[in-house]
Amino acid sequence: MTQHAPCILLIEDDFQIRRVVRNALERQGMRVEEATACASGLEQAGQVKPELVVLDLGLPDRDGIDFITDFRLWSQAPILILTARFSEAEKILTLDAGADDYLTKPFGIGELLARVRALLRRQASSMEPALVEFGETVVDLSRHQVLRAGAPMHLTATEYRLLAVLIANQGRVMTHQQLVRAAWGNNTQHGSTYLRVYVGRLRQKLERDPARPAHLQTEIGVGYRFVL
Amino acid sequence: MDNNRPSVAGHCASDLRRGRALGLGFALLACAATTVLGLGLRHWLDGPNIVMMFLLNVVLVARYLGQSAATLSAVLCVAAFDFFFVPPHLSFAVADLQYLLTFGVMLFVSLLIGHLTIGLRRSALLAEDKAAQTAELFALASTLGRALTREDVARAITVVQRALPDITCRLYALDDHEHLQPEGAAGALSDLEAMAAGHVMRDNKLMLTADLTADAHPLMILPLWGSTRMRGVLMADMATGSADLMRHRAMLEAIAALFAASLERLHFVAVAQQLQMEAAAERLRNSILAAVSHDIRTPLTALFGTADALMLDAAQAPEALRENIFAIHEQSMRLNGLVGNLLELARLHTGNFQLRKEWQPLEEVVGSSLKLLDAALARHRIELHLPRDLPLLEFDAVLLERVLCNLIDNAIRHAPPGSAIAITAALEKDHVEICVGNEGARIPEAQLTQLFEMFSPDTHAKPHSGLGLSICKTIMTAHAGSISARNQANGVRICVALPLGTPPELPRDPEDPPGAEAGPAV
Repeated sequence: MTQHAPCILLIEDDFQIRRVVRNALERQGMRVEEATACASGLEQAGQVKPELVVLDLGLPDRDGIDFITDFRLWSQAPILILTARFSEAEKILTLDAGADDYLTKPFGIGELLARVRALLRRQASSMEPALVEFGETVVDLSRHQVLRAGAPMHLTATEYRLLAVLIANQGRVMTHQQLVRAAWGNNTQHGSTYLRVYVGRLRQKLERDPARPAHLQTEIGVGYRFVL
Repeated sequence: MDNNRPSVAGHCASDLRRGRALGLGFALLACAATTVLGLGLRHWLDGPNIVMMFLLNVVLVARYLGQSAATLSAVLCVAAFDFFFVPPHLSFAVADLQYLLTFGVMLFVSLLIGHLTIGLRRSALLAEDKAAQTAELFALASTLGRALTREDVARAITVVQRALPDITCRLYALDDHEHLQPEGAAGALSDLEAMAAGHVMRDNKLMLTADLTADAHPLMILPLWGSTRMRGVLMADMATGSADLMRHRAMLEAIAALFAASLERLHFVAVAQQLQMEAAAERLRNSILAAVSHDIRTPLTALFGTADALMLDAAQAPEALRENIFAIHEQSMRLNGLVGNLLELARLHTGNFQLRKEWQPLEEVVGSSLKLLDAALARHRIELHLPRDLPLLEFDAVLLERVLCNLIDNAIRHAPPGSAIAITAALEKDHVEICVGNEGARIPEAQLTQLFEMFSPDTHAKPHSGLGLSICKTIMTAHAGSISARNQANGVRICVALPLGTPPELPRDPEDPPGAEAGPAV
């Protein structure tokens, strides 16, 4: 990212948190624009056209969800939410509204940078590669084939569909509902228990240590995230 | 006076006798006076008019002197008419036989008029009495309706005293411990009275007895039954006798019902106030929790982030500075954990806290807990043993993750670096047991059970653990599960038990090959 400095819009009302986040991002050679409220954030976003938005949910003027909804009307740039613990319902709402990922306060710098990079990478590579490699698994998306340690691994059609959805949304947190709809269609009766069972099977087939998955990660109470 | 005023009681037998004799005397006098008047007027009045005068006399006697005087008066008047006005005068002999008919009709009519007049008067008196009683009941009802305290209710007894001056009423209300407490001027209950009152309340039936007092006063004990439960008793006693007391039964029962209703109303007013206070306290607690949560977390996030940023530069820093940076980082992490636990505990103990239970594999929540503690686990080995045939379990994933995190965190905290942390799960008859064991110092047996109390002795030495384990216990209890700690050969093992249930039938995926069971193990 040396040749191009991605522009990041940081919307956060607390000065100290703004300072920490800005410093961390700027050290990575990113350009950071700041706003302290939803309204000014939206205005700012219109001017600078950020490649990523870091949004605090506890803003004084408006609900963060309003920002996401408005922003999504004209931009697909990823949104990273900063939120408090105990608010799984709120996290799900923001993700369903169009946010891509969240960080629970307090968060480490390393974690923040990892999330930001993953989202930017995802943004940059909008064209999906035919081959996705993670761990000892290779997924050939063009031929619907999965290899593990060089040997073909059989996935059922549902398992494959679920995996494809997760890969297509890599780096993002997908809520249970989003995944169920993507894998089984809008009219499905299946609940999150069904989804959990299928993710469990995928892990058994694809993860080196299914109990401590490195790629098919659980966001407890919210959903799943696929990371390379 | 005759016994013609049934509701007014309290006259001795000798009084009654004297009153009756006086009435008869007056009746005699009245008859004599009418006769004299009739004799004076007989040159101007015919026989029938004289008869009318006598009848008038009977009516007046009946009106004012009562039954026996009226009867006497009727007989006397007929006799006087015969003696003085029917020829031959001054003799009871009758010349014209048709006068016999006159006498007969006269006697009959006098008796009838007397009887009717008395009946009328009695009804009028009764109605007057009833009206007075009703007025007093209204007064009582409005006094009780305005009552805001038990003292107000007790004061209403004076209104009863006004309505029933011959009866002494005492009010006893049940307190929160189901003991009868005297209200207002009522004295304490004697043992016998208390026993009788107990009977009355148990049977919810009025009792009339004369055996409870030394002087054999009749005593009526009325239950005060509110619409939902017994509220106390009303005791009424009267000097004259139990028959008199029984005559006031309806009135006393009405009074008892009024007292019961107002005691009950006061009870529900108190309950409503209590609930209102609790709701307000709950709201206050929630808003404080939210505010504290936000206000503490914001600087904590900045502090933690700054410390973390410093850590990135620490590699090049001199030794002493690096140590300081590590210390700030570690302490801010610890502070964060502490605040998190405090807030979590506060949240778990609010009334409106709800479990979000779902059927899910255990493996997932174990995995996410380990991932959350990645940094803390860096210096320990994890030995993970999860059977592959574990059924789906029903739990709140966020909370169970908290339990596992706290257990693992606690295990790390009390074990030397490089040692193993064992996480195991085992399927038992009716539950799944999940254990986290470490290789560290053992805990004295006596302290094992106190480990999960909110402020256990352990909290003195290691401030973090007591709160964390107490949260685990709260969460496991909410899941109808349990938590226990035991020493093992070289460390401590803390286990939580999660009850098994009947997992939902998962619909088979039509695309799946036959034989592929819907379960986490494939």
